[in-house]
Amino acid sequence: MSSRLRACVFGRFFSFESIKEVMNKANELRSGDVQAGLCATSDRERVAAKRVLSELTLDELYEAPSVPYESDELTRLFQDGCEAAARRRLGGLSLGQVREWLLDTRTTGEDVLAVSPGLTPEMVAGVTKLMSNMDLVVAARKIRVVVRCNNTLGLPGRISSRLQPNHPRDSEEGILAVILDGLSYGNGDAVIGVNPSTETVESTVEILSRVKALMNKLAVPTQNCVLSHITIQMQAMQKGAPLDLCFQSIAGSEGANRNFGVSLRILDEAAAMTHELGTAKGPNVMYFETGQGTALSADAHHGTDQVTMEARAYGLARRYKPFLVNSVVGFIGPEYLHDGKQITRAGLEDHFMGKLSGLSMGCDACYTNHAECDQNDVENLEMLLASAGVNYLMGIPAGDDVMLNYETTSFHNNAALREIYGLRPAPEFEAWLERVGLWRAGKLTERAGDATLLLNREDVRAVVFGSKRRSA
Amino acid sequence: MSLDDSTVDSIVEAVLRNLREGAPPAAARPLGAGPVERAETVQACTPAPRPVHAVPAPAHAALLPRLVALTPSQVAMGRAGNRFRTDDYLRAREGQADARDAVHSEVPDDWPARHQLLSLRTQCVDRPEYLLFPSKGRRLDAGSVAALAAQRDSAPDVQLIVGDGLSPNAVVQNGAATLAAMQRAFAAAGWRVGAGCYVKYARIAVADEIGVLVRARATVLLVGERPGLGTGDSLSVYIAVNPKLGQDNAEKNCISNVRPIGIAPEEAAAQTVTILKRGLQLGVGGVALGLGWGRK
Repeated sequence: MSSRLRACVFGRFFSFESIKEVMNKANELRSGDVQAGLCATSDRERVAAKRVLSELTLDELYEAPSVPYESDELTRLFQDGCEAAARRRLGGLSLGQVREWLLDTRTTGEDVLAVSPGLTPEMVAGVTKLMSNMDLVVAARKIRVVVRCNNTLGLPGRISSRLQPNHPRDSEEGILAVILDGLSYGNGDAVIGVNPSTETVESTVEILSRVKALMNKLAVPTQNCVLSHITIQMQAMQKGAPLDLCFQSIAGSEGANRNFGVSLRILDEAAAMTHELGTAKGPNVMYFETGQGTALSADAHHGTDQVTMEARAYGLARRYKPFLVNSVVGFIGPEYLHDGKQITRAGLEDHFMGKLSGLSMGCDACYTNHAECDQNDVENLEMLLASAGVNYLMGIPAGDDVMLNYETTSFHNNAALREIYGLRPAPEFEAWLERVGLWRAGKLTERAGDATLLLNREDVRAVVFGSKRRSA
Repeated sequence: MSLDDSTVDSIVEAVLRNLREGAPPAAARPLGAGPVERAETVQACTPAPRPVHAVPAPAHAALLPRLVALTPSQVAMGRAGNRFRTDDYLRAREGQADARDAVHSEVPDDWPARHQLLSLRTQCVDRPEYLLFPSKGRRLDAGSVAALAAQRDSAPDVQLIVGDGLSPNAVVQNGAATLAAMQRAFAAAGWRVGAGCYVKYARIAVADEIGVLVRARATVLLVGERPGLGTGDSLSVYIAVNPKLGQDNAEKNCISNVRPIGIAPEEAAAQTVTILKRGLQLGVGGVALGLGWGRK
């Protein structure tokens, strides 16, 4: 094997000890791989690794999981769960050939989804390392992953958004005010998802109930979610809280998930409970967030690059047929993704890898102010993702999250993306927008941006303003 | 292409002018940041208040201010087509400019001496390395360890530490007042406070190493926090009881948003004393104190 792991670039030979070293060094440059001491030491070594990788077969990658089978429950899930029939269809092809097959205009999204169950995360990550940014857009665009909860996401010609109405002290009235504002721009068809600042069962029950009360009064077809720890959401469900989507942050190794306080067993239990006690129609009722660098930050990356670890998070997510999965791509900070270029690349990689894994992918195109990144960078990433057929993006007032203290994308941006690309909301949500006078003939009406348009009725006002007069 | 003489002259002139005006040296700026800010442009000013809302002809005009008052988020912004109004666009840019300038600022080299602080530094060689390699900002360099060795027997009740963190500007603007408020409050509480120190390129965990070296019962770190929009002057206070290397952040207490329009220095100092009294009495810190200031 090792005699094959070498390539010549402009007169110089580069050889690699293992498939793992090839995978690590074939990544586009990013600060997390530098920090971990895993990246190529020169551009020539990087492209040599890509050359070697392009000649490895999918079967060879199957035999080289990045985390040992014996010590990691995710690796066992991936290896044992890899569908043999699907794997046989491409198994003998080299990664270079797989890349060309994905890009071939005759290969349809249905063709890709048919082989997806035969791909392990290492295969998904491997082919991603051989693709340019435009390759990632072309290949992802053809893969449509359609999912259903109360709404339908992922249909061609449509794009949705998560409305993220966070409040620094979890004021329910403040949360509802932002929801009304976001709905008035046509945001919120993927989920109304609140990050609580205080993670207690009581506050999770309260926020879920209050948001659901508003959704019911407005008869708006969407999903509610409170992004507290999954075990807290389980207790909230058991107390009878109305919960549509069950959320958890996940990562690509057993150890990294332990750092999040979850395991396969806990996730299995939560998914079963949500199907039983959750309030959504389904069948897709789970919501996961991921992000490159998570495993490294937990020191649970097993010497593996952050693209491969991210693909493993998607390999875990697909077990639960989730309604939503998004990478929170720039949240983690510049020591993992240094600048706008690295964040953009990672956003496109994550979206493609998620789609190739059969997931309904969104993205939180975001950054912190100590990264070399600004709103122009995330606007660029949003436009690229919209052209790549992303299922949903984030909607926050002015793109500034006043609770989590990071910068992301705005209600206005989601409206503008629909304008630029001629995209429409989820069909159930679009019909509601038309009913309330916010949407007509494929675009927002003049009334858009006026939250008080949704406050015509006294019972709606009572839910928003009067915590004492609230009724279910 | 070569520069003609008049261009060279104008560059030299500009450099000399900047030096006369006390602008920071160009080396302190991020690569490609362009010319240094002119000192004469630095003066106190507050932004004009935002309009309550910018929605033309709302369906229920009386309800809109009530909605706006419910959240610090920017709702009812109005729109220019599907984009921000110009004023909102520029306000967002101002907020981010303040944050980014804060991240890339530096505390002047003579600042520690002027505040009677021992000057230390971590293992980072410069600010870019500080931003990309957090682990190097958690440990002191060899010279700083040696400097602290002289204080090995000071064993104070509370070791006060100032660190530049992710916003050196916050230290420059609010560090002195917060430090003074802490010193007054600790003296009033009757605690022995060792000689204070300042750490350049500091992450939170460097306080643990300092606390261990001087055998302090507790450390209090004032550090520039990661700036949000328009919060480049915001300090955080990290309080750690029984410092040890590798102590988890959940074992520390944090007070954030210490700045003129947030938590005032005196209030932050009073909260710190409350936390420390309980912490020193029980010998634990962080979430275990049950004071609601624990930080994950």
